[in-house]
Amino acid sequence: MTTVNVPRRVRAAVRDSALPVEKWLGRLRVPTPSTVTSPAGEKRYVGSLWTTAGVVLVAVVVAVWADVGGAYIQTVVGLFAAYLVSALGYTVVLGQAGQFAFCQNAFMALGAYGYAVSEPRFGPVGGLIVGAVAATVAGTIIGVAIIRTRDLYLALLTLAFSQAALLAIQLWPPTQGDNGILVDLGGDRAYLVAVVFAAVALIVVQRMTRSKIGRAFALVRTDEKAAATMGVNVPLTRMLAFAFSSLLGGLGGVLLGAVLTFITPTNFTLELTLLLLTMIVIGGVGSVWGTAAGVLIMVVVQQFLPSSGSFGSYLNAALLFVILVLRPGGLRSLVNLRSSGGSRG
Amino acid sequence: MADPILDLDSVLVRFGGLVAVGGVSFSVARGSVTGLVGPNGAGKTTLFNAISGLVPVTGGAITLRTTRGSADLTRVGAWRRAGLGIGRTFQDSRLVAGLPVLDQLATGAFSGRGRFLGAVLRGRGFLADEKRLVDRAHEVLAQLKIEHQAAVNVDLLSAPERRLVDLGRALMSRPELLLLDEISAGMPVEDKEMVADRVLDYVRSAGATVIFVEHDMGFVRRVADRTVVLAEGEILADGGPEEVLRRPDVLAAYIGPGAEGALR
Repeated sequence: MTTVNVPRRVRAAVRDSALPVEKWLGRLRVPTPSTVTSPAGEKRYVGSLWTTAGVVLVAVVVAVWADVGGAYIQTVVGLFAAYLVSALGYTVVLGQAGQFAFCQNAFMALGAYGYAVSEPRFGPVGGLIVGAVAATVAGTIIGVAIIRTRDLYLALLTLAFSQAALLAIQLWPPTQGDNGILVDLGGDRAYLVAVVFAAVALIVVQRMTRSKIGRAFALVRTDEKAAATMGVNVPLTRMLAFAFSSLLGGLGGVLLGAVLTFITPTNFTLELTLLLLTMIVIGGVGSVWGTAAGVLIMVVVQQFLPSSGSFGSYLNAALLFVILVLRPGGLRSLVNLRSSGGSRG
Repeated sequence: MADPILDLDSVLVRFGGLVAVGGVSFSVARGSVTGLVGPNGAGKTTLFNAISGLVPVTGGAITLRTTRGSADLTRVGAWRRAGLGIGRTFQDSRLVAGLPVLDQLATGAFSGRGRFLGAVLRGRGFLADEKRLVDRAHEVLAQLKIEHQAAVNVDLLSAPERRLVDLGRALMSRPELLLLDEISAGMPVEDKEMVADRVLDYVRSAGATVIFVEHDMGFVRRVADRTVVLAEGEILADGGPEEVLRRPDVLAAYIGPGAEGALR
């Protein structure tokens, strides 16, 4: 990791323009995240191991806490973990690869229903595979279909896909449509499965960001032509981004279903994508740790909302609005201010 | 010409009814520095785009012969050309926002396969690749004399400094043929000279070949050993910079007939 000396005039400008919390944060010096793995070769490997160890430790602590904390804590922890897996996938495609996709809810629905429909016959592992494959195949097909589609048109196309997929799921007899379907993954222990998946997803996405693939995403996001002249296979990279995000979306969907234990198509409407969007925007689009923070904040906030009614959606939309107006970079941008730089690490 | 690195054979680029490049043929000698000049809309950038594969070529052939292989580029996808030894900068280059200079350079080298599993498991091969990449980035930074900026966020750099970073990014893959599109545009004279010197440094140390598009004739005279003038998609003049830039028809193409005196 590199630490950057911020020029005094920049620091002064930040201090003068910053919100109070940023002034306070501005006193801390933080390392600049990087897309490079090893400025000092093996030394960096150790750093990466520490990150992994930290994630594993936190996961174990959270799992133990949930285990002794009872059913309510277990549900909240399970929700956090399930949303985190999906949100990480979303932040890869939207924030890192810069593809305006709005169909993460459909990938989650495909995962959840793929699992729910196949689990009685193939068991939990088979169900997980079916759910993940269903979502990933859909994501890959979209990744191929959008070779010539970008920006606003891409957004519209993914919205249309999202609605169509959800309708198909609703009308397909095995899903039992609006009557709902049971999802059983480890019974009461579903939250544990979710925590394990979330920890693995965090580590994988964080490591992927700091590798050739993460750099290819950054180039494609910034300038596709420049990316191509530097040797990036742009269509393949975009397809990979969709495939990867749909895989995590599908797994997150299975986990969400498992934590809820009973799902109907209304659990996976476009509002779910909006919720994930708020989560990753709060943390800073494209940032791995920012996503974790955003998911945590939104899951905690949701616990204080009335369980019925649409107040949650209003709050969600209002939050998104306020963040985009005041701090489009999210929490991550505070780190950027502090260290004068950094990738989406 | 003996041993050309690049051969353009009646290259034709047409956008609908508009002929942007109308059957241009010329060869570029290995190790030479060629300036491509001409008025706006002459087809210079389009020709660059044809060589880098960003626009489809309507007719003709572009043959590249480097130590990494020879190919008719019109049959090779844009992203494969970097692996054949072509590097390129853009007129309006966009660097990845928020990344430090070193990381920015790291985005420049994409030949060879990515290793997803290696990246996730942090395997030996992956770490060795990353280390080679960072070493190469430091090498390029030293060559461009911007090593002190390795950790600086590119968003805080001035326009000439960003151009140097963009150049460095293109140098990461050790290109044998380097295409520079108006690399000195909008720079003060001192910076132009600095950029020119560093380009020449690279050419001499790496034995590379450079083709550059440029509007500043001082820059052309300083750097080029050959100047090709394009006008309306065709070659108007070809030769040493001094003689070519003095020709009345070249001046007329630039600023209109009868106004040649303005440049003297």
